[in-house]
Amino acid sequence: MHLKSVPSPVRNLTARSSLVDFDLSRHKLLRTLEVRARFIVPGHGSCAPDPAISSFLRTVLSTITSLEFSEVIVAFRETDFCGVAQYSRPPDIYRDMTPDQRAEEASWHCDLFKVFREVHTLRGFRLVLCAEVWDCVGEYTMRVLRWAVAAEKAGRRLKYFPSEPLVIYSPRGSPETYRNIRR
Amino acid sequence: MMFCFKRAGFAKDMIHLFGGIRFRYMDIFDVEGTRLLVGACAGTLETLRLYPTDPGGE
Repeated sequence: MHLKSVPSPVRNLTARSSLVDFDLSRHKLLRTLEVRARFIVPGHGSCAPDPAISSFLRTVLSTITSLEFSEVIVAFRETDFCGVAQYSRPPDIYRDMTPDQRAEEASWHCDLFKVFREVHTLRGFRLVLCAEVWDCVGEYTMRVLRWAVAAEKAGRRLKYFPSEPLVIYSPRGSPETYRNIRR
Repeated sequence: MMFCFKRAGFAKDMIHLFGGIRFRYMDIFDVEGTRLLVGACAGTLETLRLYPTDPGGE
């Protein structure tokens, strides 16, 4: 894929730069690329899908030539989970999901895995799904991500990967931390 | 870690001042001079993170 074929600047992701800036063909020691899930496929409740953002991972991965490269870490935040209420705190941090919302979230995960499968043909890597969320929702978000992996496994769509995607959790404070910083 | 950084020329000045940069980990988002920064670390970069680290929230 040619970098210049991608429109730029890519909204939200690189407002002050373009995808041409992420040419990683000379980075011979590069091992890991960390991206946010919403940059790969805009999530539920997001603004209108941007094809340039969707092609981001494909474009950047296609430039990598490093023999050391082995891992793509995809980070999920609270806002990527329908069942987590933003700006709330326990016990009101969870919200009831309608069947439509559940279906929408599952569909988003499906779309993400579709991209992962596509890009895996460009460049082999180990997929790591990281719940980078407030500590109070860590367990819940890990569970949702494990369900997403299990759904793919049940559909026999993980056979393209050399190993099963790893689901990890990286706490990043709490809603209280957020409020204190905003004051 | 750099994000939402608008000062044009800063990356160039920094690289010039230090005689180059050799970061192994970069967390870069919406930064003026991204190409220069990423390119300057071509020989050392091991992990590239393309979204902001925010310990408090979005």
